[in-house]
Order: sequence, then structure tokens, then C-alpha cells
Amino acid sequence: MRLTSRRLVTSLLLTALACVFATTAWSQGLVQGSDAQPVTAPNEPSLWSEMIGWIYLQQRVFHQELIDGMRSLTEHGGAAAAWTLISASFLYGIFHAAGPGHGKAVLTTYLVTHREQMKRGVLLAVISAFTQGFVAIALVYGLILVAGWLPQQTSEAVSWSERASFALLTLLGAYLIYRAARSGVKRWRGQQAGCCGHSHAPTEEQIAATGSFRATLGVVLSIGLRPCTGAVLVLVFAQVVGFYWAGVAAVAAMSAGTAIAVSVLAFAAVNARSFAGRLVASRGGGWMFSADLVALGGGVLLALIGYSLLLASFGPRHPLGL
Amino acid sequence: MFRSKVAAIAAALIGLVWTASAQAHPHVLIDIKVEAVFNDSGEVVGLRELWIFDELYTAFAVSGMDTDGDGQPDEDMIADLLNANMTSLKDYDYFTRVLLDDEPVTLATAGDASAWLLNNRLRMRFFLPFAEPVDIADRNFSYAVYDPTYFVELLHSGAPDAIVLSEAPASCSYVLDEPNPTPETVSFAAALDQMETAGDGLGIHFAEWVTVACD
Repeated sequence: MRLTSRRLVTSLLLTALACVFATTAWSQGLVQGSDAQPVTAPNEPSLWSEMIGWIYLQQRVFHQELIDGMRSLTEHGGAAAAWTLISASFLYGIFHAAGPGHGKAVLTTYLVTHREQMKRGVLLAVISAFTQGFVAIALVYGLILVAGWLPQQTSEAVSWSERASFALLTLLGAYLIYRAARSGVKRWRGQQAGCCGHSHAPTEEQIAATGSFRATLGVVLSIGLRPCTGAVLVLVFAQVVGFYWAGVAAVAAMSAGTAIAVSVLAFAAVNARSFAGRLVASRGGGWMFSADLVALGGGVLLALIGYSLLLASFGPRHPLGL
Repeated sequence: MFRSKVAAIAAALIGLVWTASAQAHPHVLIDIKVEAVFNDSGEVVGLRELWIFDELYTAFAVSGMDTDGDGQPDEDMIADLLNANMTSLKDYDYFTRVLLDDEPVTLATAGDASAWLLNNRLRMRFFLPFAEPVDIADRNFSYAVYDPTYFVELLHSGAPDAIVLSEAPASCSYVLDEPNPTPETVSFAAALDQMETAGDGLGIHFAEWVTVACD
């Protein structure tokens, strides 16, 4: 029994270490990216990597569809053109969300390392997706129509919104680390006290409920405050040609597409965690303690992602000024 | 048995989070036309490039610049935009890579630049001279125009004048090699390229290479 839980803790620690190592390597990649040499393909393409490759190609296709949709709407107008634009936006949203991205890293890390009910996990994905669309609309239309900015000036506001999102993500990570550490210490004290053992320690449900609202709000905002470039470009274009509603409809359709794709990811993440939880729980002891460790690892990972993105956001901008 | 299960799950979760950190591309599509300019001795002195930006980027870049209402952006404002673009693109060699027998050809500062609007698309033209004229007779000369981060995709326009060998000796001809990214190279490169605005390695897999040969 003792041996098993020690093994378990070792495995989990290794997991956390691997996460930290991966993130560090990744943030170094960010800094040194410009020296990268042309790469050669890995020898054995996995199903996963083929899928990512396919998704990349689809993203390109639907970016073109989006431009064509906007073009035909401005040239011919009419319901058919509007429908083309909205369906292109919807598919653009699905494929952008199905591919890799910052929001998905945040959501999966959180859901994999923290206990959430399936309903809440999926709701979190949906709310994040629509927040992202809403922030894009508020930023672009708010600044252009209300404050009278030029579209190209909004990119500065967008990059500050991005930085706010990364800073918030770092704080969220720090908060989750604090929460996991506090809960772990309480549990340890409860065990030390001997008498009544776990009754003094908060139950898993109590922990999940305490401060869970703050954490989920942090997840939603750290995803949502970073508007997607595609949405910003479509809104600016719609504003320039005077089809305001088309921009809103296109971004709403994008958000719906994103919400569907990210919900699937949330579903997988919650399932993976509860499967791992059941597997570990069936071995008895140590599970409550290891849940704190996993949560701690998740917090560290989120803080590192947020911090490295924040640092990189002050680096050189793209030469074409986006 | 148990430990291997835990390890497998841990590996799957790390993989999930890891691949979730990369970014989507591209967000700007540019059609290009390129003229390889030859001198009297049959050497290539540089490339004249025309970039035709897509409607979305154009709207983003030039809206609000037409204050006199003549349908064209005001001259001073478009000149500022052009200068800003040319200055920042210099650090990236104007996204242009030229090879002679697989060795990179040194590029000088681009000049003779102009920008204007046609059919709702911003056009930018410039001449990019090589540091020294390049004699390509019986050698392997090629160029590609691509954004290493693949935030922008640059492809030769389908027009007949997309590639022109200007004042070239009669024996010269060109071949365009389409990019042929396999899903594996793309996904592998995607793992290297984590940010929209930083990181290299993805764009080259989507680059068109043009080889010019003079016998």
C-alpha cells in the first residue's frame, strides 16, 4: 500500500516535471525561433500528426473562403452571399479551434489537472469561445465607431488586450498553485492529527467548489481577452465596407464553430482526468494527496505558459504590422 | 502494469497540452509577381517584386487614409505605410531568399518602392538588388518569397506575367516548384512554431521555389 502510493506520487511528480521541462523548452523555442533551421520530417508520422497537418491545410482553405465570402457580399449583396459568409465563418471557427492554439492549451491544462463536472467543463469551453468573439467585436467596433480610431490603430489595443490575457493567465496559474498548496498542507495536517483522519480535511467536492468560480472566471478571461486575428480582420473589413451586421454575424458564427470544436476537446479532457482519477482511486490511498500534486503541476504549467507568452508579446512584432 | 498505465495517460495528457500550444496560420494572403532583372552581361542584378495583398489586410491597412475622397489613399499616408513596411521588412530580407548553387545570395536594401490601391487590394512594388550581380550561366539559381512564420502566405499570382525574366539572354528559362507540404512536415514544424509573430520553420514548407537556368 505504502509502496503503491509512493510509486504513484513518483509518477505524478515525473509528470509535473515533464510538463515544466516541455514548457521551458517551448519558451526557449520562442526566443530562439529565428535561428531555426529547415526541419526534416520525423520518420513515423502518427495519426495525430497527420490530423494536425490536415487541419492546417483546411485552415488555409477556409481563410480564402472567408475572403471570397466577404468579396461576394460587398459586390453582389443578398441573402445567398450573407449565408456563404456565415457558413464560411462557422467552418473557419471549427478548423481554427480544431488546430493548436493558446486558448485550447489553457482549457485542456486546466480541465486535465482540475476536477470539474462534464457540464461545467463544456460550458467553460462554450463561454470562452463566445467571450473571445465578444471581445473582438467590442474592441474593434468600440474603438473604431465609438472612439473614432483608424483600423490600423486598433492593433495596438489588441496587443494590450493580449498582454492582459497573458498576465491574467500567469496570475491564474499562481492562484491555482496557492490553492493546491494550501489544500495539500491542510490534508497533511489532518493526517498528522491522527484522530478522525480525513474528516478534518476538506473533501474533493468542497475543494472543487471553493474558489472554483474565481478559477473558471480566470480561464474564461485569459482565453477570451485574446481576440483571434481572423475575427479582427473580418470585423475591420465589414466596418470599412459598411456591412456592420455582417461582421457581427460572421464573428458569432466563428465563435459557434470554435465553441463546438473546443467543447469536444473539453469533453476529452474531463473524461481523461476522470479515467485517470478512477484508475488511481482504485489503488486506494494517496489519491487525495496526488490530486493536489496534479493541481499544483497544472498551476505551474499555466503560469509558465502565461509568463512566456507575456514575455514574447513584448518581442518584435510581425513586419507587416499586425 | 499499473505504472505503465499511469505513464501512458501522463504521456497522452502532455501530448494534448503540448500540441495545443501552437498557433494557426496563415492570416494574410499575398499574390506576388516577380521579375528577375538581368544586366547587359547576362547577370541577374536583382528581383523586382509586386505584392498584391488580400482584401482583409488591405481594409485593415489603408482604411481611413482616403480623406480627400478620390477613392485612393492620400499620398502622404500611403507613403508612410510604404516606408514603415519597407523598413520593417528589411530585417527579414523582404521575405525573399535567393540561392546560387545552394549558397545564399546577399541582398542589398530595396529601393524604387511604390504602393497603390487597385480593386480594393493594396499593391506594393519594389526592386530588391543583390549585393553584387550574379552570373547564373550553368549554375543553379533559385529564389523563394515566403514568411518564415507562415503568418503571411505569398504565392505567385496565376497571371501570365507572374514570373518574368527581364532582359534575359534567350537561352534562359524558369521552372516553378509548387510547395508540397506533407502532413508530417507541417505538424512537426507546427510544434516548433508557437507564436503568430515569432518562430521560424513553418513557412518554408509552403514556399514556392522558382529556378532560373541559362544554358
